[in-house]
Amino acid sequence: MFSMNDKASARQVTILLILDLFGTAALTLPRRAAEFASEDAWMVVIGGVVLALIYGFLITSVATLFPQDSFVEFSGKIVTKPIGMALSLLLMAKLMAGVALEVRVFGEILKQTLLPKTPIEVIIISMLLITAYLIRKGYECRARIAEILVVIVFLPLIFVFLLALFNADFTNLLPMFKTPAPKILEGAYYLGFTFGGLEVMLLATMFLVKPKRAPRVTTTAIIVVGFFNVAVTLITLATFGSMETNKQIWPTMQMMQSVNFPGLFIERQDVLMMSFWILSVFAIVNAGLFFISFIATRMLKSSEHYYLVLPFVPILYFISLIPDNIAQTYEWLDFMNRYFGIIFLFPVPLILLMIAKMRKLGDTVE
Amino acid sequence: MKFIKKREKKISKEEFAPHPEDALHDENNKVTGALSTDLDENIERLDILFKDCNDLVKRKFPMGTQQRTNMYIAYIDLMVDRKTIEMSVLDQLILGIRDVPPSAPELKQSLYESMRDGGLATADIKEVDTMDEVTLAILSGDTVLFMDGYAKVIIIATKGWPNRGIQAPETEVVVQGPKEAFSESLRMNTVLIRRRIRDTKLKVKQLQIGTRSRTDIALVYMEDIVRPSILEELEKRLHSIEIDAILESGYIQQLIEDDWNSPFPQIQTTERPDKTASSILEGRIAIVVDNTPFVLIAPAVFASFFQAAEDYYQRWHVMSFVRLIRYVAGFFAAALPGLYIALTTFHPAMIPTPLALAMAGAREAVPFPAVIEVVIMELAFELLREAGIRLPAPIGSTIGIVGGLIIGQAAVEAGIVSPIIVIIVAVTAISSFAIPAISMTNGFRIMKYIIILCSAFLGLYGFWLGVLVLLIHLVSLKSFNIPYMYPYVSCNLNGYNDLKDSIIRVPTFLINKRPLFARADQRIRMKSSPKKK
Amino acid sequence: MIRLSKNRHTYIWFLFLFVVLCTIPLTGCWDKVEMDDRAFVIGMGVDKFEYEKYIEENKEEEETENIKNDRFRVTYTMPNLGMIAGKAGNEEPKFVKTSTDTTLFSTSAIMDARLNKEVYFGHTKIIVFGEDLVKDPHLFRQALDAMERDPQISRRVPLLVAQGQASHVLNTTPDVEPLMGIYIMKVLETAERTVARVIRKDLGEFLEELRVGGRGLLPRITTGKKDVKVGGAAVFKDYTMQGWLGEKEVRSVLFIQGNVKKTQVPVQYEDMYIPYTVTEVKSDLEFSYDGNRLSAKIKIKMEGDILEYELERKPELFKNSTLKKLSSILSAEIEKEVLQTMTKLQKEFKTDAIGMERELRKYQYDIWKQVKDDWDQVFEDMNVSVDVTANIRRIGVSR
Repeated sequence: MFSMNDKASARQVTILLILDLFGTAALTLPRRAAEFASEDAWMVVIGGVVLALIYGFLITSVATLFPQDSFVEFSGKIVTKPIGMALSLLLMAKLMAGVALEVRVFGEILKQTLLPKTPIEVIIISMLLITAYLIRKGYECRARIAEILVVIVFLPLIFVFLLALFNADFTNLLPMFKTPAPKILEGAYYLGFTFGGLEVMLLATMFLVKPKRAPRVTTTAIIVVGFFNVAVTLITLATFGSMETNKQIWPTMQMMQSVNFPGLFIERQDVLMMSFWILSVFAIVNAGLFFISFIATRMLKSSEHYYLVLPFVPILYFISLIPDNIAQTYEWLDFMNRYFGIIFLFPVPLILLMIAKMRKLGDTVE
Repeated sequence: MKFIKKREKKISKEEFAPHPEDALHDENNKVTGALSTDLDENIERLDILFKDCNDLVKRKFPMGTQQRTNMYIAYIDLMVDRKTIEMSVLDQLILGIRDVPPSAPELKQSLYESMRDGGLATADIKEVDTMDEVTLAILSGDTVLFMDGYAKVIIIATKGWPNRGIQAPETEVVVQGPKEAFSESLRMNTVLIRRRIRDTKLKVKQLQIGTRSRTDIALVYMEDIVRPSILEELEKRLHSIEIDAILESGYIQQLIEDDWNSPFPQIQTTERPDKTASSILEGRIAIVVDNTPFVLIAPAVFASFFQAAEDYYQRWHVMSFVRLIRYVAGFFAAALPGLYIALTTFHPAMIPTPLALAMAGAREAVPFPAVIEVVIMELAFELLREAGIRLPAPIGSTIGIVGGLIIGQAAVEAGIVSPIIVIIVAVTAISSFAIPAISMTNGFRIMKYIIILCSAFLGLYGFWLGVLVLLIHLVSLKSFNIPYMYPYVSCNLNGYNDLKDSIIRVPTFLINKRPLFARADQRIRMKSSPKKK
Repeated sequence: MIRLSKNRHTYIWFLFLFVVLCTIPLTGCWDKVEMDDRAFVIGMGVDKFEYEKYIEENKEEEETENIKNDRFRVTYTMPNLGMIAGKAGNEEPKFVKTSTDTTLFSTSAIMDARLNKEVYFGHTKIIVFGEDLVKDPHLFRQALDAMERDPQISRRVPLLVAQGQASHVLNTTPDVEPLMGIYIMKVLETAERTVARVIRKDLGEFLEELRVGGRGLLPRITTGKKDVKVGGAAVFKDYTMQGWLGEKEVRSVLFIQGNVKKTQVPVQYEDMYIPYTVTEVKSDLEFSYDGNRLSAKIKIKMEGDILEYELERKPELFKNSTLKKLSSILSAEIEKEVLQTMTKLQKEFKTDAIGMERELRKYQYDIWKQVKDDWDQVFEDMNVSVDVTANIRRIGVSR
């Protein structure tokens, strides 16, 4: 009854999306925002959230026109099969690059904090394999694990943030409103890409028990993650001031380190906090790999989609090892976000939506 | 030369000779053959079947006013209540019938019917006409009565084998609550359940499983509360078991579980009738198995194993706290040694400095790396546990103290292990005992080693990967189609109601709906509102 | 039988995976270091190493090539674990080791080669810099950067500047507590709470201060025969130490920053000295700019008690007039001290080491925009006026 159909309830998909969007981006977020706007970094983040809401709206509008299909199918229906296939391949490529780089960044962070001498290959491959183990169990298992993980990840983070509030000097946020508006908009544009995970909603609507709930799911997830991102930025800025935030590669991590747990016996709790980040990254890699194999299955029209997971693991592993060093990794990430990030968030859904409406395709009945 | 001679395997004819009894049994070990009207033929067949069974008591005796008809009675010695036989059967048939005057109207009917209707002074009699049922009855402790000239046999219920009686439960002890436990007799167990639920809708459906053991299994459930699909699925699984003997409910548990590969149980066992009764009222099904005091309850989710009977008899504050402790204990039982290894060997920065220095100092003279130490101590503890179960009571407790304290202390002083390890292992062991269900504890015991391995390999990262593997496995389990981790996942399936009884236990008056196991329209359990202060 | 065997495919998959995974641990656990194989560095001291000087001082040593290029001399304090665990044997509670090399962390590599354990900085409690090191901007910047970049050193480690050589500081064994690092850390904590003569700066805070113009303050530590004293501060400009601030001057700095929890200020009243115990300080900075010169007005409000007087002296403390008189004397005295400190900072050191620019930027952004380009000069010319109100609230339990 409940668990035979591989579909998930709206609540579960919301949680999945939240975990997907809140990831290693949040570690570098304050720095990126401070690069654009110094003390007004939090406004940049809010701008990013607003943009993300727009992207979410577009994506879900086009996806809910075809509640039982994923992107692979309905893009084919809207703009003819070959173009649809090409688009799907592009999406798959983008997802692959995204996951590979994300896991590489994660490996780098881990090497800096927890495991300095372990070869990064081992870290990456173990994460990918465990993810593959979960994916083979199906979408619904992913949803269930997300429900458990969200508690384990977010509760300690909230706790740390509350404690950090005591250490924070909010006068560091002054002077406010000194950044010119164009800079803020530019920053918001770039920060919108931290919500790049929204692309998966193009594929995931068919997993909902009630696909029409997709817009609400997306909006809730974006607002929750947006709230966290703003909070993280504010607290980091308040703890360090904008210049110091700019200097750290991962200011959030340093902020967690500087929190003073009164009387608690754990020193260097940032190491402990990193472990919760491990779970968060697991959720992201999980989502990415799942949808990659999902697209591949759909394109090949095979019915058993869980066998295609394993071949992608070595591919992703090799891609993630291509950048030579951490600086190059981030440069590639920025490059990818700058030029390709926007494609599936704005133009493609918009065009597909317009064409679909013009050709009167899909379920237009609410 | 003699010793090089090829040896031919001589199969004696005896080993292949058909057993005389085989002719009488079909492939399912059921006795074939009908009864005949000739008493002597029946007696002969019975003798073949029960050849070499010296515990069968049989007697042929004449009956009737003119003492012309022969009757034959048979039962297994000591499996029956002899008083009933002697007073209600033999006394009536042999002596009482002499008081019937020859002109009585009953004698106009057939002798058999008059005997059956009026000659036996007991209520529980049955009439059968196949040899299979006759033999089954004898083997179950009933008495059979043959009559010459009729192909029907009367079975009189006289079960009275020696039994342990109702004793206090050994594995699930409570402070406040009933101290009755199930015993090995099926009927006694169902009676204990019936006493608590006096509703006609409480059904006791019996079947027999096991071709040789013919064990009685009873499914006890509330007809209108249980989900029909779960009941159907359960019956289907039970009927597809083809095994020669069911000696304990554990056999059934493993044969019908959703995933026998998992170290975690998906069916609950209990010794307590009150727990069984409350489960039945939730819409679950109790499987009572003869010859064992452990009753199975299906379906069971992860949270069920952390609920103890006493949770509902005491107040909610303390009981919520205790529940929380149980979950923490579960976590420790699986994860504590791994966490210790990860922290001390990979990330000592996380331990407060004075403690870190003390631990490092204590480990100076120890020859083994921390991982080996932990594994050695854990295995030693498993040994102790196994040994402790088998020791007789007077020696058992002594060994517990000796083993635990003195050997541990001696090991520390000899420099084999460091004292911190002893503490960690002790806490882990104690935590595993805090979990109410033994079957769940066993699951954690296995996972503990996997997590130790992962932590030893990759530190805290490996620890979390190990925990993730454990979580993934748990989350993918199902018990009769209900997600195993319910209500921690999909908690909105029953309107968030089941969260009220998971980690914490909200006050009794707030739990007014039945959990997910029950049928959707039968969810309201309590209609009252809290008393106004 | 019900579902006797799972899909064979699954089993083969798992078996393959298992075999592959088994090979990985065979290559070794890379980060696993047993706790007793780690040398916990509790205190670290960094000095500048000059080859010629070293040869001069240690004439019996031969001249060797390989230490010619060394620039850092690092001292490590490590506890004697056996003794801490209560085992008999070596009575020395700690070990102090020194090594030299060209860069900071290659020095610790050399240390690894000499010790039977692996050096570990996760529990480092203090870092002391030698005076000659902080006067050399390149070396100091390199040392700081190394500490910032390395994840093992926590950002909350307090930093200190030694008057003299850092190795002298770490080599001293105080009577009270065997471990030098922990001792100093505790001294800092206590001092911060009870006496306002020392500034506690940890690595993170110091780095934040240094971002603009390399300006900042670090506490000073001096050694006696058997103990150490923490008091006063070193003033930094352009990542180099310019000079020392005495303890009283540090107290003034703390007043300006409003960072005092409790301190004593003795005030001269007629023919005796009375200590004024400050319990709370609030400070406010107000700037004004007339196009030419920046003026700063420092308003300090204090609350405190008088806890020591002279027995049976008249006028008694229990009178409002006495207290008011004492208060005005106090305020004047503190104003003088603060002004003196500011002058020293402005004229002698020419550095805004106390973070006034930040305050200006935060609260009066427009003024800051006008003056930010030449802050050092502006600071030097700044017109400072101090207004202190020292309130006396309580006098103890007798009149």
